[in-house]
Amino acid sequence: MMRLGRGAIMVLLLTAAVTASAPAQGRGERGGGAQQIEPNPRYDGRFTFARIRYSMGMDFGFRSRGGPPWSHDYPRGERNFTKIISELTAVHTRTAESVVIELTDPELFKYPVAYMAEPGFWRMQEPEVAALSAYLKKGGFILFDDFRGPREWANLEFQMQLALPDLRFIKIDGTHPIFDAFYRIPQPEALESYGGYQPSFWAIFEDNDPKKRMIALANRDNDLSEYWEFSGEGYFPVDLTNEAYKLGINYIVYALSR
Amino acid sequence: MDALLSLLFKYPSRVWERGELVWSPVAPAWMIIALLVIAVGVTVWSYRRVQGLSGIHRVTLGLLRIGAFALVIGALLRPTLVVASAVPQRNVLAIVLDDSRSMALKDGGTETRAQAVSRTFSDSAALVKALGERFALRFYRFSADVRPASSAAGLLTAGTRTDLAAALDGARQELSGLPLSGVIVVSDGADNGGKELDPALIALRARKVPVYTVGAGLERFPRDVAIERVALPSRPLVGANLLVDVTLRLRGVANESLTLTAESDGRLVATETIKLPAREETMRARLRMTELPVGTHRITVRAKALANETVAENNEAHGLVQVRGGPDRILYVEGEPRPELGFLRRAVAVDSALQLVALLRSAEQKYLRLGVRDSLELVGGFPTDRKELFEFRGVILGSIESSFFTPDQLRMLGEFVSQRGGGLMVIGGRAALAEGGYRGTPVAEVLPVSLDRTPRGAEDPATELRIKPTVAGLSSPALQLGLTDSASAKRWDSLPPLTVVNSIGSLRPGATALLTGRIDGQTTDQTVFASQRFGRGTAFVFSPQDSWLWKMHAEIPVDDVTHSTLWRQIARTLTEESPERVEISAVPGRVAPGEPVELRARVADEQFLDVNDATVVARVTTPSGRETDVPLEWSLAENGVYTGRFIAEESGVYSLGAESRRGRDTTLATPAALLADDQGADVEQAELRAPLLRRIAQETGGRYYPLAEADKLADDVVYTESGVTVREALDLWDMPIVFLVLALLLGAEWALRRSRGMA
Repeated sequence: MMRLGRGAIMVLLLTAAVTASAPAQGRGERGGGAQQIEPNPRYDGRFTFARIRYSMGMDFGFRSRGGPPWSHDYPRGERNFTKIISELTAVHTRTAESVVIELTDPELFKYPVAYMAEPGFWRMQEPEVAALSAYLKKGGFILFDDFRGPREWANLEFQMQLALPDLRFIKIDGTHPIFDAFYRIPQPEALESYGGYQPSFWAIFEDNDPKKRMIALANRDNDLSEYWEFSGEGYFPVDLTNEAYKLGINYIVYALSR
Repeated sequence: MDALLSLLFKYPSRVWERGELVWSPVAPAWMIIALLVIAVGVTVWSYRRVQGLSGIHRVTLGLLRIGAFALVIGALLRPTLVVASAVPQRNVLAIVLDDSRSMALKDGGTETRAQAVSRTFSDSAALVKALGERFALRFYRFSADVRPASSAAGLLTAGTRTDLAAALDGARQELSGLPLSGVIVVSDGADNGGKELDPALIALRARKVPVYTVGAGLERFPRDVAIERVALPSRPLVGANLLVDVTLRLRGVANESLTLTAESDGRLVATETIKLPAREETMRARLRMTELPVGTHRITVRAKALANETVAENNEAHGLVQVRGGPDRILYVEGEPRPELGFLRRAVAVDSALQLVALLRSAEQKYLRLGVRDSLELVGGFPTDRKELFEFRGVILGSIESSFFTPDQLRMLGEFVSQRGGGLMVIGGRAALAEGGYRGTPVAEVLPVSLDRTPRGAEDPATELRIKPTVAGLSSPALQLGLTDSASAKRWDSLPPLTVVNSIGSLRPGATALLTGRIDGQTTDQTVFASQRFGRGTAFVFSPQDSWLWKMHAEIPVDDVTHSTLWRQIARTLTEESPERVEISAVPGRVAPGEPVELRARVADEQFLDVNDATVVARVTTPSGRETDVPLEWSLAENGVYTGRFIAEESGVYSLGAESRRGRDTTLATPAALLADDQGADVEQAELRAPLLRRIAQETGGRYYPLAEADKLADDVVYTESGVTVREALDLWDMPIVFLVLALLLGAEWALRRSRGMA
C-alpha cells in the first residue's frame, strides 16, 4: 500500500511537472479573459472531465470578469487535474481534451461524473431540471465547486431541490469513505480557498442515507479548481495545491467505483 | 410375400439366413460334368441340323434347352442347406414379458397391450403350444427388474419402470446353467431404465443366444400430446429466473392450442398457452415460474389434455427444484477505476443472494477492497493460493493486464475454471483480453473466443456496436429481459449501442455465442458475449467496456432495471454451476417407491482436487422423517466419486446429506433431494418403440415381430446355435422353384418350336 506521505510527495513533484508542461494557457492571468471553448471529443469510454455549461437566467453583470461563471478555471483547471489523475492513479484518463456540456445534452449521460463551477449563479429551466434529475437518479455524480457565501449556497440548495425534491444536502466530514478512497484525508476542511469562509463538505445521498450512493458533492466555500488551474503559477503554496489535487483524486476514484 | 417365398424355396427365409449351403453330388463330379458337356454338345448338334431357322431363334432354342439340362444336372449335384436346430424338448426358451405400466395402455382397440400379450402367449394359444412342443418354456415378467412367472396370464402392469437391460441380464443369469436356445422379449420398448443396453446385448451375443423381440402397441398414436422431457433448473439461487424447458411430442394435433401449467407443491407457478405447430412432431416450450423460496420444491408440469387423446397419462411430468439460499460470492478484479465497476456493483448489490467482492487497483500497488467479508480478506491483493481463490464461486476480470498476475496466479485462474468448476468472466476494457496481453496464458486457454487478432492501440477510438441476442442467447436465463420471450426480444431491440475497445477473435469450437454486435451500416456480426464449458467450469467473455450505458444512456428511462436485471442474471449464471467441495446426488433423481437408488457423492479437498481416501457416509432422511446412514465406497471407476445404494420404500421427497471425513477435515455436503413417487411413471414415452426392439434382435441374431405376427416365432426359434442343437441337412433339389423354372424353360422351348413350325 502506498503511504500518504509518499503519495503527497508524488503529487508535489507531478504538480511541478504538469505545470511546467502547460506554459501557454493564460500564464499569469489569474481570473483572465473568456476562453475559447474547444469542441467536445467523441466519447470513447475513457474518463473525461465533463464541465456543465449552464444558463444564469437574468444577467446582472457577474460575467464581467473571466467569462461566464460556469467556465471559471477552464480549461487549465481540468487539463492540469486530468494530467495529475493520469499520472497518479490507474484511471484511464483523457488529458488533452475535456467536455463542456449542457444538462439537456443527451451526450451528458455518457459522462457519469460531472463538474460544475460557480453554482451560485446557476439557474435551471424545466428541461434542465428533468435532465439533471434523470442524470443523477440513474447513477450520475456531480461535483459543485468554486462558490462561497450563504447566498450562493442557498441558490445551489434551491436548484438541487428542483431536481431532487426529496433529497437534501448532508454535511460530511473526514470520516466519510470519500476521504479515504485514494488518499487518507482526515481533515479535508483544512484546505481554504476564500479568506473568511470556513470550507465544509456537503453531499446528497440516495434516500438521504449517507451509507448509500453519493449523488452530489459540494465543496462549500471552497474552490479546488482554482488550485488546479494555477498549480504552476506560484499563487498558492504547493502544499495547499497538493491538498486540492488529493481531494479531487479521491472524488473521482470514489465516484467511479461506488 | 414371406409365405410365397417359403413355398417356392421350400424353407422360410429364417432358415436360409441361418443355414450353410453345401453340395453332395449323387455321382462323381467328373461324371456330372461329362454329362453336362454331352448334353450341351447334343443340343448344339441337333439345333444346327434343323433347317429354316433364323440365327436368333436357333440360339434362343439352344439356350432354353441348355438351361433345362443345367437345372437337372444342378439338381444332381444335390445342393443342401445345413442348419443348426434345437433338439426338441432338450432346450429352454425364455419368454420375458413386459409388466410395466405402459402395457396397461389401450391403444390398439378394446384390449390393453398386456391383455393382447396375455392372449397371444396364453397356455392355450397355438403359438405357446407349438413352442412348448419343442422347448421347455420359462416365463418371466419384467419392469424395473425381472421375476419368474408361471404363465403369461394376469400381467399386473404395475411396474413403474421398463428396464430392458435388466430384463435381458436377469433372464440370462437365471438360466445360465441351462441350455438356453433363445429369449423372446415381449414389450412396447418404452425403455426408461436409464442403463446401457450394450453390455446386456454383448453378453447374449457371446453365448450366441438370439433375442426375438415382439412389439406390443401402436408405433404412432393417431392423436396425442406427450410431455417427453422436462428440464428444470437443477439448483438455482433464490430469486433466479426459473425457466422450465418442456419437450412435447405431438401426434395429430397440428395448429391446436395447448395450455401448459407448472405447479410447485400444488401451487400454480406458471401457465402458458401455446399454438402447436402445423408440421413438426416435437416442439420445445418454455414456462417461466414465479420466484420460489429457498428449499426443495416438487414441480408438476402438465399439458391440459386435448379432446380424444389416445393416451392422457403422458400429459404430465414431475421433478424437484432445490432453491439455494446463497449468497454466492464473486471476486471482481478491476485494474482501473471506471464506471463499469461502480454500476456493476450497484446492479448486483440489490440481490441478497449475491456478494460481489471487488479488488480495485486504484494505482500501482494500491488497492481498494470493496465488499470484503472482513478486514483481512484480500489484504495482500489478488489471492496467491488456490484455497483462498477457490472459495469464490465466480471471478470477473475487468480491465486488468495479464502482467498484473504472477504466472502461478494465471494458472490458478485457469484451474479455477477447469478444476474448481467456477465461472470466470472477462469483460472488455483497454487492458483486457488480447489488449491486456492474455494471449498464450492459461486464462486465454479457457476463454470462449480466441485472442489471436492484433491487439488495438491504447488510444484507438472505441467501436460502437448494436447488440442483439443470438438464438441461444434468447433462451439463456442470463439474458431474459422480459416476462415473455417476445417482451424480452423487444427490449433487446430497443437497447442503445455500447462500445468495444478489444479485438475479439473467432469463437472457439464448442463455445456458444449469446450476444453479437454489429456496427451501424455493416452486415457482419462480432461476438459480444459468449460462453464455453472448460473442464468442470464455464468461462465467459463480455466484450463491451460500458454496459453501464444501459443504465445511464439518455434513451433509458430513469426507472428502467435492464442493467441491474441483466447483471444479476449474468452473475447468477456465472456461479450457478460452481460445485461445492462435497456434493451428493441420487441416480436416477426420481424413482417409484420400492425402486433402488444409487447415491453418488463427489468429494474434493480445499484445492478441489479429487479425494479417493475419504470416509463418506450419506444420510438419507425419508419423507416420514426417519434417518438412515448409507456408507459410500469409492467407485474405483472415477476419481473422487463415492457410491452406495438404498431402496426408496416410502413415497415422497427424500433429503440427502453426506459427510466426508479425511484426517481432521470433516466436510458436509450441500443437501440434495430425491423424489419417490409413481405418478405418470413409465408412460412418458408410451408409443411402441419398434426400432429399439429391432436393434436388440438384430444385434443378437434374432428377429423382430409385431405382436400380430408373433405366431411366426414357432418356426423361427427352432433354428439356433445356442443350447443343445443338432445339425440338419435340408435338401434343396426338390424346391418347388426348381420344378417351376424347369417347366418354364421347357414350355418356352416347346412354344417357340411350335411357332416356327417344328413339332
